[in-house]
Amino acid sequence: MALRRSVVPTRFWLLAALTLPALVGGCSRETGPPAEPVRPAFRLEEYGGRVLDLSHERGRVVVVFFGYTNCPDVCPTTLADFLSVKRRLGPRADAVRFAFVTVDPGRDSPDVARHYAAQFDSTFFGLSSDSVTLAGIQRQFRAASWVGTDSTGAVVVAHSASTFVVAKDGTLLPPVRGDFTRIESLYQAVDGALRH
Amino acid sequence: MRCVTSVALLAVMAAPALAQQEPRLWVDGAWARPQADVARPSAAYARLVNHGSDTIVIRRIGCSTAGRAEIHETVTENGMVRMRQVARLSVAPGDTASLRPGGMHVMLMALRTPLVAGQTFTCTLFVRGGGHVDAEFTVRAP
Repeated sequence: MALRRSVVPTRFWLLAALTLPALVGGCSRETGPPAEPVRPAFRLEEYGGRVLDLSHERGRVVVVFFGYTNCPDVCPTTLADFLSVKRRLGPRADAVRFAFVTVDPGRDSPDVARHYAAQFDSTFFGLSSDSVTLAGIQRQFRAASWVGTDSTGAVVVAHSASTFVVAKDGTLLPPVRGDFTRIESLYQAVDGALRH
Repeated sequence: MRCVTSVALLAVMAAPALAQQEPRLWVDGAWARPQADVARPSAAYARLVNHGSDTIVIRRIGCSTAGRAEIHETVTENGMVRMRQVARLSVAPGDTASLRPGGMHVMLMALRTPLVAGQTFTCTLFVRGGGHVDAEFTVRAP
């Protein structure tokens, strides 16, 4: 391929490269299902009063993505995929909760997160918390994120690429990788979870 | 060869969308995501086809709808996704650079107006050597 890209190096990425593996606790865990069933639990109140409490979602499938609203590419792509999957599921989507959880609570207040998710579909949860709560939630999903600044002072964010699916019995299913096949993979994961 | 096919296809089917000046860079399928909130960025995508005989290096981009526009690339490493700026984008003769969701994109910052589906705006790609290419982008859902 003769296409060449020249990339601006930043101190941020060096730091991120050093710290992210420690935060994630070994990103290779995302490559397969957990050895033991994991049942993540969190309760977050959305701006406006709606609550997503995983312990109250037994019998429903919950789809979770960790992103941020200033993300112009991956996050809107993922939420657009959520909408495509929801439409494809038809009435069965009533048994699915789609949730966007911001990894950038410093900029994404609860109302911002709610408004962002609602742009895609009014039923989607848009959730924000505080950094400590967020870290606890991400740990359960074996997800991670990093918010910092680059050499120009611009905010930069790294976050887990995967989408997470919680089955009807509350167990965490293998993560759906964030690549170009994600929309089909996500549909298959949610469809399969609904059938079990 | 895929690039040759793309060029031929462009010549036949996409002539109205082309922005062909010197240098011979064709911009095809240019679109941008809607963004209602001007405080947040959007992303624009296109295929850039080098129809000339020299490598084209895009060193800067400016868009009428944004106070700042940069080419960025989404990269995924070890399960983590992040963006990084692409300072210069080189497209070899006959080659195609695809700016698409999940990959390279034009990051539109400091939006001057909300981006509403159906709108169009112009971006100018400034290339090494002093030339430039204007391309029209259409705002639409992916």
